[in-house]
Amino acid sequence: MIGTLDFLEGKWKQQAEQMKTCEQVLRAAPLTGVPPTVSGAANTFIQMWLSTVSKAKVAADVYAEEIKETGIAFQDLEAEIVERLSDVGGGM
Amino acid sequence: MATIQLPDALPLVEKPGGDPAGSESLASSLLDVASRIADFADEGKSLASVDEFWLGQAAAAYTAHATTFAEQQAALAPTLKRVSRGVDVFAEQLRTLLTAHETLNGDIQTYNRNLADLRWEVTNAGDVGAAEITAFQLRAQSAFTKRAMLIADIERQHQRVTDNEKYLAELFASADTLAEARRSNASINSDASNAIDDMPSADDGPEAMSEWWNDLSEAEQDALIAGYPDRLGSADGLPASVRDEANRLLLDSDLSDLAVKEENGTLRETEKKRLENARAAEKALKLADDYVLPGSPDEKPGGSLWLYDPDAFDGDGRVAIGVGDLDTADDVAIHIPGIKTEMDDAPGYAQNAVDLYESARFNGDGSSVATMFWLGYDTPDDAINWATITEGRAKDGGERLADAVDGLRASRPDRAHITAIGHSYGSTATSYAATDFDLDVDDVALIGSPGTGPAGNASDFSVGADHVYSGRNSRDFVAFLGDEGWVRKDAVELGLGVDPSSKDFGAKRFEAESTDRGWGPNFDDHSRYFNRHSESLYNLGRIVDGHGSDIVSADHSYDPWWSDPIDPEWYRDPTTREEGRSLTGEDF
Repeated sequence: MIGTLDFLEGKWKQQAEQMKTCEQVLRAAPLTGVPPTVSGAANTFIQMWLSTVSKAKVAADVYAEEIKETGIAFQDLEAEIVERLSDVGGGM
Repeated sequence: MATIQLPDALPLVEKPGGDPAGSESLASSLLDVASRIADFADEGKSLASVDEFWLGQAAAAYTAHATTFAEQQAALAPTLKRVSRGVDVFAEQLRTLLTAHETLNGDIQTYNRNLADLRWEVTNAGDVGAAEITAFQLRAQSAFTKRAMLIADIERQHQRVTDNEKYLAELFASADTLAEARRSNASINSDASNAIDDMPSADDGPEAMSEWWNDLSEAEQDALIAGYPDRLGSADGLPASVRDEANRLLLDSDLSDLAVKEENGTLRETEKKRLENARAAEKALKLADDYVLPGSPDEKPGGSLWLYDPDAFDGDGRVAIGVGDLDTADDVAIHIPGIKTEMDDAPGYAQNAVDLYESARFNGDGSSVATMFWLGYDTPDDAINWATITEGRAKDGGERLADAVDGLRASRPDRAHITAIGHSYGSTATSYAATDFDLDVDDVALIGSPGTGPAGNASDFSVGADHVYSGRNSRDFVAFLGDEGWVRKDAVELGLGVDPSSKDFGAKRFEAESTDRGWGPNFDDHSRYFNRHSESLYNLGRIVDGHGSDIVSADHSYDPWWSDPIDPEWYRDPTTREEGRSLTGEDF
């Protein structure tokens, strides 16, 4: 299971990268082709979408981090169980 | 001299703001982000499902949260995609308005110049007689009239520019908060949502579709293209330019979505064929778009994506790409391909369309031409299989072809000269269209035909025997399959009906030999009918141009009782690049 959680963590990191690319594309999106009368509306629009993909990126990072923590917790738990069993001894 | 009242000069009109290329670039960026958000949401949904390897409260909490999150993202992608399309539509309209602006300012300058000339003449006229005064008054009156017309044009142009900018501003404003962006109908303009409710169904016929479209305002039409390209791209009866604009938006969307998936390794098996089809259509369309008539650098007819449906027929796809203006050309040709043709073959057929355009123009009478290959039916996958032999696909293709031509007819206010060119199995489908479905074209040419399906004679065709033409390379193996003379298809179940180059059929046969032809029957010669500087392409060009009487005739094949069928063309030396016979364009 821990291996699968690692896989999941890696996937969410990729997801975060995807949103990072969106941020870059939106920041570079050319507004020069838009008429001056519309540039205000275009700017507001771009800013909203920039904020949306940034939040999605943060969320994907949080998923990755939480899954990583969960994996570590499972590893710790496993180690503890092994240690306790060892303390109990093998002659039960 | 009596006083001559003259109108005032007019100021030039201000150029519309913005630039089309910049707007298109913005649309591409938005489309790219929309595709990434869609893929992000798709992948998010699959990552939310962990019950195969992770159970318990933490897993349940994660699944619930991640699922909701993915669904929220999924709702955003279509909205952003619609905005991207809207920006594209704005750019296209801006391009039109910039051209109109140049024309209008040219007219204003001409008016001002003529007015200045008249003013100078009146001022310096001195003592003139009654006749001269009357002439001045008439010219002055004409100037007043011209001025009034120009003012109306200026107001119309101003209104169109204002409407276009208002459309773009509202488009952005309709999805500039998260709550708006998540709505399923976000960024669908109210003009579009009102108009789409009245859209006729295909069953109402292409005339109803054309009438509906022509009754819409320009703003409604633009909004519909951006909002519902999937409803417009294949709608028979709509102008080719509208179908083209809608289908290009669909193509761009597919290319963007699937390229992102390919880049991220999330492309599903079923989507691979769709991507392959989309890329083939893109390549074919570029070929048509970029084509310049050799020897005439000013003649760039442009391409159009008349039909785009990459998922049709279990992924074989439907596509039609034109060269030249299908809405206005005097002469229109539709090439119907045959067996094994699928959407990924589009680039080769676009090249055929280009070469046919060249031939028709090079040897033509100066009339405008548009050529299109139409893959709108499900071609059989192989020469020898049940679908081929039973002719079911040819019949279905014939009906679809007749509908497509009706759609093209209904979309135009005039009656263009239309030629249907059926190649291979496409000639059988064309024969069905012309025999059973009243194909509304002016001329039919059948090339490399394995048989004419239900038609036993050229006179069975809707166009009448005088307008049925046949081209057959004597070494073309497929053309051998058609019935000759007394050996009919009910006796030997190999071909698909009568060979249209045979004497009994009664079509006008034209020369179609190739200098590269094989020594005996072969399949290569089946694919040489559109070769540049070939006899076949020359004759097809003449028919397309409306001069079928100028074809270079060939003797019919026949089937004497004392031997196998005889094709006199077998023994003739083929030509190439021969003027008036096989020269189809400029060479450089």
